[in-house]
Amino acid sequence: MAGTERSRRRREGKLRKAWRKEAATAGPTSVNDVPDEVLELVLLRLGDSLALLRAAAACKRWRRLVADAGFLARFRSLHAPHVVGHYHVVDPTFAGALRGGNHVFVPERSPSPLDRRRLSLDFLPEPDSDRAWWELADTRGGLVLLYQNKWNVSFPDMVVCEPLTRRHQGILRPQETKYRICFGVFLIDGAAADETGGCISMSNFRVLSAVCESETSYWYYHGTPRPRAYVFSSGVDEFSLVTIPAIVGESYHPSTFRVIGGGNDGTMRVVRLIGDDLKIFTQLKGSGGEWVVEKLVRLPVATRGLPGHDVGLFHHYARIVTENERYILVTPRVATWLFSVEVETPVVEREHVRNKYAGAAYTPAVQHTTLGCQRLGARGTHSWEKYSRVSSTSARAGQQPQGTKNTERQHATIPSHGDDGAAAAVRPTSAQGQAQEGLVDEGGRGRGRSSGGDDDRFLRSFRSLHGARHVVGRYHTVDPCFGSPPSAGGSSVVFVPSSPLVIGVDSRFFSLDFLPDYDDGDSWSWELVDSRGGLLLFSKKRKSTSRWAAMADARGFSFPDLVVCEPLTRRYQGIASPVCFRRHPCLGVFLLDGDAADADDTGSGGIGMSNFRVVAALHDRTWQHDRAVPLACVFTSGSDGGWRVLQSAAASAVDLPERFDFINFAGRAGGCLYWGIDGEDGAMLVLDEATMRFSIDMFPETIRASYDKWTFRVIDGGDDGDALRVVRVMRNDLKVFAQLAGSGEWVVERLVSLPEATRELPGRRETYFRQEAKIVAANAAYVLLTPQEKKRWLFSVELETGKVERRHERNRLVGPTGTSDPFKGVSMTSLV
Amino acid sequence: MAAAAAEATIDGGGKMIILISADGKRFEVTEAVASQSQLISNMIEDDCTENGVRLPNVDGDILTMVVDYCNMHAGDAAADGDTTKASSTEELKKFDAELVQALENPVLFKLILAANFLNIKSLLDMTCQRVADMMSGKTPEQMRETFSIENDFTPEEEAAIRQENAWAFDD
Repeated sequence: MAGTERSRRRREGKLRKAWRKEAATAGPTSVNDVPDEVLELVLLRLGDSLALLRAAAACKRWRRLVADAGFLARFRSLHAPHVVGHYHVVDPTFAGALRGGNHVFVPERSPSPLDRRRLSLDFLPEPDSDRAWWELADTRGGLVLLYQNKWNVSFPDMVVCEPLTRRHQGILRPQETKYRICFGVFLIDGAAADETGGCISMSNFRVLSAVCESETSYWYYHGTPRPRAYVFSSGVDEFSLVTIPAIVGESYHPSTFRVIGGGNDGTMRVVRLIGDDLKIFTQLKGSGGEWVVEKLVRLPVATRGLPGHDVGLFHHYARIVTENERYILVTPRVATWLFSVEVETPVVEREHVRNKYAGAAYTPAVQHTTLGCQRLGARGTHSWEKYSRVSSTSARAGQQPQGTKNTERQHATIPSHGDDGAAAAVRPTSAQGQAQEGLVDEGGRGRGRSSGGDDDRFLRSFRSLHGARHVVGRYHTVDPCFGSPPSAGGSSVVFVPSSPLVIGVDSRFFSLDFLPDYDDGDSWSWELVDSRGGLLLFSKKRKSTSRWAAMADARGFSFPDLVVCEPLTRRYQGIASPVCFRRHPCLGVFLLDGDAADADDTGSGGIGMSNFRVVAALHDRTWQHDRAVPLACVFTSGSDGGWRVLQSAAASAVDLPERFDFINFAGRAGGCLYWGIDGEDGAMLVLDEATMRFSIDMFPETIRASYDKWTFRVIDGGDDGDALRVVRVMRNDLKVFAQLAGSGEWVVERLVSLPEATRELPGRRETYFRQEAKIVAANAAYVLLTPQEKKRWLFSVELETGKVERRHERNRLVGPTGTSDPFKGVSMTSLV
Repeated sequence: MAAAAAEATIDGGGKMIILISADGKRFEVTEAVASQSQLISNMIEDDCTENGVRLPNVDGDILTMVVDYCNMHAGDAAADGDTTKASSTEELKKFDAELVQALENPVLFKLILAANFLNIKSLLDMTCQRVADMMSGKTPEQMRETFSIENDFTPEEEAAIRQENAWAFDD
């Protein structure tokens, strides 16, 4: 090593000498000899746009290069926006009132590269009266939005200005809104992107005002107030109207209802506090601007573990203190205990300095706003850098601002709860009355909420873009026994996108908040039981508050009402269980391809909202009462569909024990469904999905031992497709059995010693694996396991590679059940 | 330096290649060293390096520097992922930066032209960054002075430019 070090030194010395010598003898080559494309490389390397602007003033050639739209777009993509400082809103209760407004400029760096006087807002027009002043409301890019604070007006006059060029444009409120209550005003990107990718400038911006509109149009919340959003667009110079649907907001008190911008994409979002749940609503792109729940944070749960947390804090709910695009500041009502919820992550914290702006008893309106100052003077036109307030989110730039265009259309497509046709048809419970004796349920069939052609078109184009069988992610059932309670929509389902999520697919599309309500929503929920293609199957399930309740529930388990839905088009169909089978124990319900090949022309192959089947496997006790037979009920979609019992399927040759809890669902593979039967000498119940016939199959002694669901699962075969494999845990070895093609002999395809393989994983304890490990979930790709000693220490084993890991998101979220509930099974895959 | 050496091989270095500068100076380098230049790498692939590579755009003085630079950096590509070498790569970078700072403008731009012509990305990156660093924090006048650029704006044009972005020109 020393030798190489010496020789390197020697070479360095030689180089240094040689280069010095050259420096002395070289001729007069200058920057003017460098070709344009190389000079561009140099200019792209300038640290910020201030230097770029100055370079553009050096000579004509440099100016020409800098002013090029393509160059500016490249520069923009390489450099984070240059923040020169922040305008802070100052709360007079803490700092004493400021003259002429509530804002103060704080430079990012000291000394500031700019003269601070440049950021003064002294050029603003005089307020209307002595008692009015300009208050800072929002900034975006290089623009600042201020409103005139007057004691008697709640919807204010505003002004948008560009401090660095000292230009401004006044925005008068629409007359009819004069006395409406305004929740907030926001700057959003203009409707058009300029040629260099910038989205906001004095000639291209929009202002959004969220307003409460009550019938009496005064301060008081009379009648049924509806929130509305007014949008001001530069160039058009007038306000237009967006209606926020009633499902997003029912009461509009500022302590529970706020409107925030959508970050970079410029869409409007609504923050609501409903009880202890903080919900952020957002509008979908494309599907008529429907509002969906983007984030849900259970405050009592999320704040657990924060210093000073106490269960009593949330006895009387919470209130929103202040909000912006990045975080929401919340405090319980019983005491001032401020914490912030990040909009994006949503991380809950108390330590951040922003949480300390409040004194003991005050609820301050502290807002941090920033100003990105970047100006590229080129060709005499004004071309500002688009600047995102949070530079870490700027990667999402490029999404077109939406949500405030097409206001007419949104207005027309907002779903209403009181709409008879939609609500009645899809609620399984209200359909029960119509499904009287027959097996065919007329009521719960056929009508999803949105049958419009738009959604189909969207889906078609989506499929054509992403291929017919692209897995965009998985819905996971979360079991409270393994992880913290789920925080999505009240049901136990979490969507985990594939990594990386397909570009252009918004994970908000996978929100399941559009599922119908239950009559008594507190005690029932929808449980995910199967998925196929882009469809999901849910069963109605009593909400279990504890593991014991869940187990008790499973005892009396019967044929439940179902819902089939397609998250991407947000359509669903309720399916009431047939009355005469309602008390039959159900071994499982599954989604199958429809009868018609491709009825709805969406390129989805055999399954779609108008073309699917559901099979329910029932346990039918015979008259002797000591034995039972299986029964297959099939629900077919379409106008001639409904429930049918397949008589031929109830073959008397198939004989089951009387106790249905001896029968455990083991898996689905190669077009068949498998149940292990305890105490029947290795018999397995098999349902062929194609013929709908039940049969009994025997697995060889070597692999069966016991059909305990914790140690035995059936999964799809590997590459061959049609074969099935068996996953077993035997003395803490994970074994995958597969059949040889010719002889049909079962062989061990993969063996992973769990104590060995997990040795290096973080958090592994020596005490683990003294008892047999448990299989929590299994599919063709991976098996999820946990040591019996610590149930929350989930890890997965990839079957292809044998790789063991704990980091994957699926290991944190997933926890299919610890009960004998036959409905909860493996994690679900959503195929689009 | 003999032409015959073009065919010679040295231990592990592979084939030797002769580079010939504009003023006829000859440099003997290994293929591994020379192929840091995308231009020469392409020529090696096309087998047109038999009789030496003539580089009519590059002076002998500059080519000396380029060859030295390439010799220093020959191991870089192979060293990826090796942590001990990564730190020495880091050192090398620092050394390069110091070296390039000492260069006077005409040499710097000649080096840029050579790096561009030979298509040696790391050298081009380094030298362009040096020029950009020299621009930063300077007023337009200082830039003109530094790079001997003629101010070809009319006084009216210059006044208009300054007016338009007045905030950027507070000196």
